[in-house]
Amino acid sequence: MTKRLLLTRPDHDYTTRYLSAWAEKFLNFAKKKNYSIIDLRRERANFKEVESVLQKRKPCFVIINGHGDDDLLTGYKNEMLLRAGFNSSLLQGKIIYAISCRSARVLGEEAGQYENTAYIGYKDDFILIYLEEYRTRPAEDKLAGLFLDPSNLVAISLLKGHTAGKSVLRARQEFFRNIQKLLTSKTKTEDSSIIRYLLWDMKNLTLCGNRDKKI
Amino acid sequence: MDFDKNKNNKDGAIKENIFQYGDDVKDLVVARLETLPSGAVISIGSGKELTKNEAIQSVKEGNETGQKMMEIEMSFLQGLKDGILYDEALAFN
Repeated sequence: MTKRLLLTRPDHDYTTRYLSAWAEKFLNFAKKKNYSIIDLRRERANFKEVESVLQKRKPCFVIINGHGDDDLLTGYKNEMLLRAGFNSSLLQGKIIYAISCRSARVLGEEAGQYENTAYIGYKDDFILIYLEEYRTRPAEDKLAGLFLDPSNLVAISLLKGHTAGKSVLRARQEFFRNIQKLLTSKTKTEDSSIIRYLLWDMKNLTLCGNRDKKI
Repeated sequence: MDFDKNKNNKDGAIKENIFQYGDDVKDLVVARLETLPSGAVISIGSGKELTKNEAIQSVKEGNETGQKMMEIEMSFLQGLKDGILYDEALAFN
């Protein structure tokens, strides 16, 4: 049976456009692995469509690119998509990766308590540093790649068939590898100044729920 | 580097994660932010995107975003003091 992947890409500000552009990397990988991809972009990244896809098409893997808070994830123009105590049960039995701020704190904790569910997200603000000159071509921004490559590794590792626990570990290792690269004496001061933000993201990347869950 | 980690709110209840950093921390974080690449934009929190100069201004004003920048810096320095880079290297290698 073909496995389904649901992805939201609201693309309504620079940050979500960066996430969207860099998502192409794991999307291409998912296509090679013959996943059926439900890609909700721009206006389609809304509450109604997300709820409908989760209920009717039952994706096994859900990736939310967007903004968030302790108890919620948002889509296009910050419309609420999923909220703790409201519709988090739609995530039951799935693996979720939320590339957003804070949602692991409450929404992730709640979703992670459902049977056979793994919620991966960030328990505090997800920090991304990018260069203004690359705003129109974010996929070429190597500085942003130091943040988004490790983040993407969560998705790629899961798509390769690794467990949620192993995927988070591999992503954290990748964050750390980037930190180590920036610690060398050859690195320019302005580049090494982002180490604190990489470390912040690495520390806040969290798994709630079933560590052994695979797609 | 003074900060009150458990500042009480109006009701007297302890509100976590509210830090009041002193001027010495502000100065330190501003100096750190100055070293970011020119043209760097910091995406922080829900939809906030700050240029380097806007981030520096936030820290100087001590607003919510500035407080978060200071929290990140202090977390980093505390981590260094606690040997986090060494610990992580041991854990991952």
